[in-house]
Amino acid sequence: MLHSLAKSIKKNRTAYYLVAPVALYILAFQLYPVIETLRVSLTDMSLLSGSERGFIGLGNYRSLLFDTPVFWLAFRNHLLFVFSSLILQLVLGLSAAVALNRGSRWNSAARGATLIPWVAPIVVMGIIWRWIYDGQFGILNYILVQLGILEESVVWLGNANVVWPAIILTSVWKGFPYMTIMLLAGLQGIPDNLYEVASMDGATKPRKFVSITLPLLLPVMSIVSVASLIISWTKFDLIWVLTQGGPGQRTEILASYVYRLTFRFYEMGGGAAVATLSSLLMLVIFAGYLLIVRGRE
Amino acid sequence: MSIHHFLGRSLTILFAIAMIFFASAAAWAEGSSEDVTELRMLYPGTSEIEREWAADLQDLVSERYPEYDLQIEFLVWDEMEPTLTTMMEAGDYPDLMMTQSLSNLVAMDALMPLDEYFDSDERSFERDNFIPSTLEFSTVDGNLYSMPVLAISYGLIVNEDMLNDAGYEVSDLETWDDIYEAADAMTEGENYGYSFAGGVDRFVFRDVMISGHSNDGLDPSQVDREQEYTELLEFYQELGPYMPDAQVTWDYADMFRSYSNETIGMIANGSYFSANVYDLNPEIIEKSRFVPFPTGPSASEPQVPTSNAGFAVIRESENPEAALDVLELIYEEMSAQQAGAVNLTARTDLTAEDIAPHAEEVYPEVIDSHLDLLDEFISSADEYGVAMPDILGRSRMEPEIQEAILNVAHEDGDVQSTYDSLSEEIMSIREDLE
Repeated sequence: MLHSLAKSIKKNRTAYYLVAPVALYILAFQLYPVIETLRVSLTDMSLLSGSERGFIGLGNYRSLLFDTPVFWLAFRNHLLFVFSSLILQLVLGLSAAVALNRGSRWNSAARGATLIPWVAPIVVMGIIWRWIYDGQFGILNYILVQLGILEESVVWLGNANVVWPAIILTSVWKGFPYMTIMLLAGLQGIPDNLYEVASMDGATKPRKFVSITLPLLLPVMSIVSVASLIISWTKFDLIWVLTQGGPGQRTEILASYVYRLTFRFYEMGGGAAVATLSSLLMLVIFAGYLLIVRGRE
Repeated sequence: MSIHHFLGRSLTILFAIAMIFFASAAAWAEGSSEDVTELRMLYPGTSEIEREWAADLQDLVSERYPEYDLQIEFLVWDEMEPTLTTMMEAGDYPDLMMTQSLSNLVAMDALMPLDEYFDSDERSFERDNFIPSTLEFSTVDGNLYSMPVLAISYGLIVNEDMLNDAGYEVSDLETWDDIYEAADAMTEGENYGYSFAGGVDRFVFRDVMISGHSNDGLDPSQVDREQEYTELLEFYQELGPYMPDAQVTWDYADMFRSYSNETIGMIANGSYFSANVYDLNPEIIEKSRFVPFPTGPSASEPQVPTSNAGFAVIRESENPEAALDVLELIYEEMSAQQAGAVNLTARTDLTAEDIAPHAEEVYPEVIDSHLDLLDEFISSADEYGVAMPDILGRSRMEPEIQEAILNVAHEDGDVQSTYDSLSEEIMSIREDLE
């Protein structure tokens, strides 16, 4: 085995030279952190408790799964946040892409404008949205009260009934341009003659959308959905700027819970365990997605 | 020669050149590091005033110690500990940092004890030159871990105009009952009597620390003092109608903005008050008065908790002596300027005359009012000052306390059941860290 590996290296030396930097990078900055996170998750390492603590096996996982209600709250919040954002981004992105795909002289300007939320720094946008949502001075309340839709101001980020819609709206606003641009590229790849033939056969616009556009757009939609899912899954900054996981820990998601445990509570073992569980869950979802896609193929 | 051989040889040559380049660069860096001692300081300075102070310190260090290169990494207070933690875990230790609460840093074994240098004749530090309560705050388990620069006293800041318009005088505010009455009278339309930054757990904790101290020195971790604690929860419940609902999402900036806009009459705050509101509305300093937080039902007199902001040397610093030289320079020449920029000095040997010129540069429009406020902080701290307890595991307690206070203040939660569940959580955190 080693002999054949050595032979292969000798034979394909140049290829190995070229791949080496990337391989080293992956080993050092991706594989090693994963293994180290896994190792720390099996310890009760806490920076506040000295170094006498050590290996506890699956203790952190047991504690999280069976004794920590906040973990399950963060878990539920995380799924709500990620999947609501994804679905709404997809719907909005598709609508915007279809609208932009129509020939209009304003198309270029509209495409540029669509990208603004996506390219704007997330922390700056988060702070602006926090001001928009402010329960006393926020412009959203001002407009809704002026229009007579609300009788009095609502504390959008502090009221349990509206905090998630408010956060998800911000997340969708921030993320849908990416969907739009990718889906627009997909739409432009659909040959016009398919629509022409369908028109000659008497197909209506909705029929053409359902029978031509959607099926041909599906591969692109699958790819951007996965990309968007991964982006949302690790989106810590938006939640932290908007609510810091609060009030209390009511809007905690897994990413903010990892941060809180690790860098606020200094419970490195617990933080690593949440990070590991979060990654595992992501892998399970991704595997499920692959199964569905392959089944369809 | 095949393309593969050509590419292979080219890459080998490139690799050799890169190695030579890196080796030369490393040798050059080593050569230069023999001449210059690099020092890094973590500094929570994001405002113009703080950046100026940092730049002046760098200039002074260059002038006195040309062989030192002081690099300052600017952060916000919230990110100081996490950043240090990350650096420590990576084995990349800075040399100095500005500190407030020390318990976590000491538990992490991050700081170098300074007693040896404060007691040595070779260094100019004099313990007698510091306000005792600030030195006490810098001492953990009998060891001094930071050099206090600023004293921070906490109490009640009142908009005197709003209070007078509501028919009360500042001198009327002696008990929690007086706060309820005044807050009630000031609350009208968009104006509220009292507020705190409910969106950030550490600021809620601080508010509870300030108000709790005036109920016989209760600190937020002392859940075993049931009577005082339930009284404290009742205090926030009683104040609920006189506080804006919006505060549940506020951080300090939002609270200061509201106070500066004169829609809030009273806030519990510290002697960094002027530095926070001056840019928003300088005139608010003229209208503001500071009093010790009025007493709760279990107390006979108020307490003014006092902490400090200071500088500490990192235990694993590669150049501890050089770091101490910089610390000494701050002690000898930069403390008055820092105090002038913020508010109170931690030093007894610095007079108002030392600080006033610096304060005048920072608060030119309201210097007299600022100095009056400063007098109120000093006299209150002199009379009622106690060292603010530095609580290990505080960061774990903060979200629990935030949840409890918001529950009683804004959701009409039952005080006893809130106390019971809070008590259980806090006791569990305390036991976990023992």
